[in-house]
Amino acid sequence: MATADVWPGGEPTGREGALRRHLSRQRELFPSRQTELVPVTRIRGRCSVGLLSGAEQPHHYLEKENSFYYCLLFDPAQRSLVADRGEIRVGEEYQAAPPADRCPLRPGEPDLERAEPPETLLWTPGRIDDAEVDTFLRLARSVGTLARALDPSVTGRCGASLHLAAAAAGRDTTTQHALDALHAADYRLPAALSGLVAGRRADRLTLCRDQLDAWTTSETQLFEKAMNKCGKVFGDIRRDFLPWKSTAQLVEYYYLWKTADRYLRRRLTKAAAASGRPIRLLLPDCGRWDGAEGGQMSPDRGHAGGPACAGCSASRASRWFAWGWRRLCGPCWLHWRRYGGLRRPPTRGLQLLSELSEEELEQLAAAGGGAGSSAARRRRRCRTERLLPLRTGQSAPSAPAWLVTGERAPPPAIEAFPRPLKAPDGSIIYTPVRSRPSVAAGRLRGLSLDSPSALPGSPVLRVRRPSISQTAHRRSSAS
Amino acid sequence: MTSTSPRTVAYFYDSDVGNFHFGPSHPMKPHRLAVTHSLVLNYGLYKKMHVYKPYRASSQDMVRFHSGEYIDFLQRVTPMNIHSFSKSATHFNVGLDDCPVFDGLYDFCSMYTGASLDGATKLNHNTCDIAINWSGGLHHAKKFEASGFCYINDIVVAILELLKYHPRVLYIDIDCHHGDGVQEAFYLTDRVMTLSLHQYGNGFFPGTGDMYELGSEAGKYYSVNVPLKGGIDDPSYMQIFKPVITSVMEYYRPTAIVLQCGADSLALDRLGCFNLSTRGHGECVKMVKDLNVPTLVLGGGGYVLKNVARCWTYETSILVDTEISDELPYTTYYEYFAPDLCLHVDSIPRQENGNTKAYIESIIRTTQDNLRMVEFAPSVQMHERPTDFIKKEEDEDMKNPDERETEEEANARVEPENEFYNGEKDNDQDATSRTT
Repeated sequence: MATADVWPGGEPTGREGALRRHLSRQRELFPSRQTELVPVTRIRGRCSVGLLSGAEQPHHYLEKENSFYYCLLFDPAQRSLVADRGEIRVGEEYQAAPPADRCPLRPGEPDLERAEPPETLLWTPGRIDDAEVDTFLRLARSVGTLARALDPSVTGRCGASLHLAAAAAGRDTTTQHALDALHAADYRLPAALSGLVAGRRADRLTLCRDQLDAWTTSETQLFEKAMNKCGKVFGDIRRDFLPWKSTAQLVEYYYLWKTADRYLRRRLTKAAAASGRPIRLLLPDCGRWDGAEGGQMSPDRGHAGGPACAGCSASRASRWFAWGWRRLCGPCWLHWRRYGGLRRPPTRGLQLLSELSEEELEQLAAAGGGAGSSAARRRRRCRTERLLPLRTGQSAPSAPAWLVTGERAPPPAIEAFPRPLKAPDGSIIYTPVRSRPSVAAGRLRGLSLDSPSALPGSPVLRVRRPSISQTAHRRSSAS
Repeated sequence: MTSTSPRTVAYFYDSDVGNFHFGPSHPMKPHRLAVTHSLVLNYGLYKKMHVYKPYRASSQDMVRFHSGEYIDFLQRVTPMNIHSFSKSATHFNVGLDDCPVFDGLYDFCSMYTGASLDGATKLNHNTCDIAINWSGGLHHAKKFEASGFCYINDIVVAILELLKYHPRVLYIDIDCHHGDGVQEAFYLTDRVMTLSLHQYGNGFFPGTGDMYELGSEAGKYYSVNVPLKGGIDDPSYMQIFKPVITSVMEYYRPTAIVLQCGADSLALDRLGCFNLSTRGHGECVKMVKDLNVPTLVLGGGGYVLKNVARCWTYETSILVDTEISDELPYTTYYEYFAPDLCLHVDSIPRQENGNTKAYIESIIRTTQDNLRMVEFAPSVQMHERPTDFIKKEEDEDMKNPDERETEEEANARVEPENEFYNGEKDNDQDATSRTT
């Protein structure tokens, strides 16, 4: 993948930079849009995955635990990586054609293409006092309540109770009608008022009905039956149950019906029925997660005097975990499980030395002559001898193939060919070799430099690491 | 930049626009417009505005942006005959999950498009300073295809109308989704600057809106994108919105603004993942209003019916300069707002904000750097003088040459009225003195 995308500001340099780069790399994922079903036992926790935007650096993701970034998506069908980016299309079929002339019409100049469109003015502010409007609205509602009480067609439903009639008259249709009437009467209160109550007959009062008022009880029952059968497919309801209503009327009625008592009662009944039913939840066999603690070494094998932690070189830890032929302390193990890598850059030696400053290199060279264990001295010497010329531009001396320029590999925690243990009776006990922790399934990551399965070495100088058989051989020959 | 001068507000609402239904389990619910109107009515905001029942857009209005065959298709397709159109339906991306064919589809489109177009016309004729159409703002629709619940892009149609009188139009999009349809429509022109703040990444719809989408050809640097991560809260949003708007006004100096107020950037939305409160959302509207530029305010997304109504009611109250109480008045839809019966929606406390401080700072810096390029890019301002000059000659031809022109007439010609404001309406005095 293009590193320029990931590191727009250039890669950080120095020892800090190397560490940061190493840790940031562990945070890159390649998600796929495909939905996969995984066993519950494989779920380890929650994490956040964000698209790495141009405004941020990968190391910003190090600030929060369990946060990952991605730039490319993995397409399982094509088995390839693709950019996650929509595109803005350019061409005649996509863009609007703005008026070509740069100089638009001046304010006040008539637009010949477009006469004033025939919209309807419904209200002009400031023509009438607010208090007067409110009074008028109250009056309109009172008239609406009275009209409901007098109208035989609504008496059956809400007219029976004065409360219900008042509530029905308080709905928007009355208010809207009153305001329209006021506007039509040119904001003169007396004219508007007489419009509300005047009719040919003395008891003819203005009664505004919305869908909730206009529907009969049988229509309501039919609608509820239809809702049970078709759900919210109003086209079907209309076709099969209420063909004399328009779809718009059905939709309006549906939303008003949701505020009505009938709907609330219905919902409560449904909820009660649902709560009576036993809930069946299918849980898969949630046995212990394979490998959650599987790598932990038994206390006798993870003894204190063993090799140092492969992740942080700590020699003391409360818990040890087998990691390939090496072992990890508790925190390093957790980091490995979470990010699939170690807590420090994998390749020691050249890569790191090249990033040291001159003073650090000199210090390192001087330290080579100081006191210390012979092994440490030898290690430092072989490093500086080999690498100082490289820094100064000389050609690299041909290193013997067996030379381990990095950290000396610690003795393995698990030997491929261990000396067999013997039972008290002298018979040999064979123990199966533990498998190494597998890379998290379902999470495809880039070539992880520090996974024990892949050790490509530094790009400049191939650093040999002892293979399992080599180590085992060396140990057996040393003893 | 604060102003207290009352501004004329025009409000467009068609009482039929709420009675459409996209289909079962579809998140877009046009009835939110009816609920919003109900709250506006009962809060008494209705009385403070010029209220219009808008005209319905004709197919001639729509083909100013959209392709003729697409409009023709929309006019003819119904849920009954969709099967006979299956090939063109796929071509126009209609009839699938996002953009279903429902009863009255074309009527719905012509209602909201007509209202936006009406608003633009009213602004053009200076009949109002602010035009509100909560049913509009369907910003995903493309020239020949529907996208993301949007069929007709009323915003583009309205902006094309505004461009008749306004040399530079700014489009601001605070919807949680990227305003890709509008950006694409004006990707190559410098007469419209599109600014969108949106959630980006992780497959979030529509997948465009990276900060490096800047526009192209003459329109390079005239598309401004602010991609954000989920969970953004009020302080972070304002931290970005304020400096970006200030820079846009400084470098672009629009003569008209179209503000898309998608309410899916609120907390608890069904699709959006932002964490804004109604107060935070309204603060953006207030800031745009205080710029004192003729503004067309549109709706947009928003998929929790009651919260959309709350948000847009509150924003209507901001636009008409009226304080309204947090306690809801009795309305037809009172039960919808149970149990709290309050106007405001608060952010979710302790929700994780994916936008780190470093990210926000970096994104502001990049956006401002790009905006600075507008000054150097060939822009409308640079073309303005010659056209003024030509205009002046034309004007003189019309006049009686024997009559000596008055001093006022001579002064009035220096700047077009739609270019700068004088007196208390002038909000960028230093900018004016620099250019004149």
